[in-house]
Formats: sequence, C-alpha cells, structure tokens
Amino acid sequence: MNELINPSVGDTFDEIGESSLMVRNVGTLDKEKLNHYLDAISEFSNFLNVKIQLMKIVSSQLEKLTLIEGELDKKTTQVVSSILHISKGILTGFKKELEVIEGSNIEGLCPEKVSSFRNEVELLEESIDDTEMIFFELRADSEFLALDKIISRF
Amino acid sequence: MKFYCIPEVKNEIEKLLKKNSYKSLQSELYCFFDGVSNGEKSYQGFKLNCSSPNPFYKKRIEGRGGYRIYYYIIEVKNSLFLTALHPKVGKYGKSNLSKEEIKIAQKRFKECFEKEEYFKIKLDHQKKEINFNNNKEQDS
Repeated sequence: MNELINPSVGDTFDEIGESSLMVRNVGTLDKEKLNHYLDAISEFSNFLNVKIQLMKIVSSQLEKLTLIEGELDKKTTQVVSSILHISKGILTGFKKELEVIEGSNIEGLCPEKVSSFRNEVELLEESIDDTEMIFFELRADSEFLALDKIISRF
Repeated sequence: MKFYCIPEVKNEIEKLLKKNSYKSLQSELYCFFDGVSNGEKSYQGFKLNCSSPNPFYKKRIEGRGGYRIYYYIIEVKNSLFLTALHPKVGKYGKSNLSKEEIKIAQKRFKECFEKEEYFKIKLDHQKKEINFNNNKEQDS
C-alpha cells in the first residue's frame, strides 16, 4: 500500500501530523494567556513611566539648583558636588538599562515609551553637564564674572 | 515684556528657517515668547550667572531634539535679549555650547546692547510667527 503513495505526499502527511501534535502541546491562546502577555507589556511600560518621572524630577531639581542666589561657599560647593555625584550615579544606572532595552527586541512592543525613556536619559545627561559647567566653570571664570558685573548695571 | 535679539541670533534663525527640517523653530519661538508675554514664568531655565539683577538663562525648547536658547533678562527695561540659539540635531545641530561659546555670546550681547545694535522681536499672533524689526528704526 505504502509503495503506491507518492513520496512527497507521504512527507507532507508526516510533517503536518507532527505539527498537529506540536500545536496541541503548545496549547491554545485563550483570553487568560493573552491578558498575561498584555500585563507583562503593561508592567514594562509602567516600569519605564516611573523611571521617566524620576528623571524629570532630577532634571527639574538641578535646574532649580542653578536659581539659588549668593556666592558659593565651601560647604555649598561640597553639597553641589555631592548632588552631581549622586545624579551621575542615577544617570549611569538608567544608561545601562537603556542598553539592555536596546539589546533586546522589546522596543518594538512599546516604541513610544522606550523613545520617551531615551529622550529623558539624554535630557538628564544634559542637565547634569549644564549644572556642572554653571557651578564649576562659568561661575568660576573671572572673564565671565567681570562681564556679567558690567551687564548687571544695564 | 519686550523681546530683542542680537544680529547673530537673527541671522541664525533666518538661516535655520530656510531648511525644512528646522521649520518648527518658528512656532516654537512664537510659543515661547507668547508664554512669556502672557506673564508665565516660562522664561526661567538653567541660570548661568549668579547674584545679578539681570539673569542669564539657558532654556530648552521642544525637548530633546529641539533647540537651545540663551538670553539675558534686563529687569529695569522689562526686556529679554536672545544672545545665542542652536538646534540640537540636524545639519547645524550641536549638543551644547561650550563655556567659550557662551562667553562669546555674552560679550557680543554687551557690545550690541551698548551700541544699541539689536533687533526687536515682534509677535504675529495671527500667523503665530515672530518677526524682526531694526531696533533703531523702531524707536525713531
């Protein structure tokens, strides 16, 4: 009987038979499973949201720091240095997380959220650089201060 | 509040607006100045100087990939003077101004202010655009 069957039809029969078994083993996609996957994506999105909000807070606080009046005494300088040190630590953590995200395929599942996360990482880095330059370069530069003094009388 | 800019900034804005990729600059600047003229404290950004009645700010407009503007507020004249501007990305983009570039912008502002060589920035509320007027022509 087998000799009468076209070999390619037989192969197809075997392949489809095996696939049918595998489909059964994998199981069917029901509403519960779908919700499980959606929950995981939602959890990841919320995780990024929390981080984005944290970065916004740090950036905003650094901006506020530059609004303080008065000359920097030694103690204040130390506190500003510490703030920058902590901020850089936070940034390093977020940059590592971004690398992990970019090394995976998860961005395709929530591209807008990952893009917002990436934006906020860059803005935080800029905030740290700006704050450092303002306190330790510009405000310590005699030429900048001399010109600023003239402009303060305008 | 009245708005002005030094010639270098006017030239920079005009150069950028010639490129399609920077078309958003027009509306972003309009929104910024409109917000300030409506009494919002939106002119505050990172303050570069310290203990001066005339604060010198750096402000981000349009977030990460947008533009950065630098300006002095001259309190007694209730005026804002744009002293530098750059996009973050694109052909003319740069990540940040260096300390030396900020000092050059500060120096040019001082010179332009003393010689009254600056342009008045006017808001066109219908088109939601900004326009420039020669300051001396405007005052005469």
